[in-house]
Amino acid sequence: MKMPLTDNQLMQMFADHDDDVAFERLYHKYKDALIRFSYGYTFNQARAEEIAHDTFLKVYRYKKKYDPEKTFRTWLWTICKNTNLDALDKNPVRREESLDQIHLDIVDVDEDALTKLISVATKEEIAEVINTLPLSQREALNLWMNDDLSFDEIGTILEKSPQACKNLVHRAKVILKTKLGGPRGQ
Amino acid sequence: MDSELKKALINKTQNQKSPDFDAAFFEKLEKVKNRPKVFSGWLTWAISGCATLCVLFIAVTSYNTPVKRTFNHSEYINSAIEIQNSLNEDVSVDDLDLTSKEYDEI
Repeated sequence: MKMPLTDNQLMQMFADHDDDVAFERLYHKYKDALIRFSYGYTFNQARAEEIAHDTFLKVYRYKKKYDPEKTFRTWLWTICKNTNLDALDKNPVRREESLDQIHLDIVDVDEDALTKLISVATKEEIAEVINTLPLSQREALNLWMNDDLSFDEIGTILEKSPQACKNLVHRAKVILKTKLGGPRGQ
Repeated sequence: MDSELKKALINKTQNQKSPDFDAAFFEKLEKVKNRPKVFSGWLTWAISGCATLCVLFIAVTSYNTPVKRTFNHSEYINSAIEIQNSLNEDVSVDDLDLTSKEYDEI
């Protein structure tokens, strides 16, 4: 039985042989995740889609710069992150930063309970909480939830240590649980 | 479980994508593919680089720095004498004599 091609193999086929089919497969696999990730920066669906487009166009234009030693995913997410940051520099988006996070660090997160809270909450409620997270936590949380990236890979993309990324995701979860908990949750 | 939490988050953060998202992307991609690649080859870069160097070389070597001109007094005198001598070449000795009748009319 033929094994499906990995992302790295598809990208190499595209880079070495201009295989557009391989490129399209990667595009369809990651487009939704890139839009969700970009939304975490822009808070605007149209801009998020535009940035997702720009990311794939950069992958197309700079295919020869792809280093097969590195995973395609970290390369793709790094391009997306940098494209978002460039867009933020041009069009800064201000959001309130959560000020009550310091004393939350010691709180442990019951992930089952958090999953239930998220399932019960509306999209708007969750969006409101995520959108007020500090950028660093939002970035880490978005990468963690949108792809099966390890904390090593998230650290490479965000240029932080894996432990720092783990802490950022943990804090984001704590804030989510605290803010979504309310009178309805535990 | 981690994966359940991720799924729940993805489910609640997924926004409705534009219906023409894919079409718009492939349209942009076509423009990128069809963009004229003027400087895509090394040969083009080499020729344009050489042409630029030639122009710069000609511009630099053709430029003459203005030299301060000094007045050479002896050269000026010698030139004046030469001019006077050349003017006097066609004039006879008799003509040079101011006591002759021609000049008495004054």
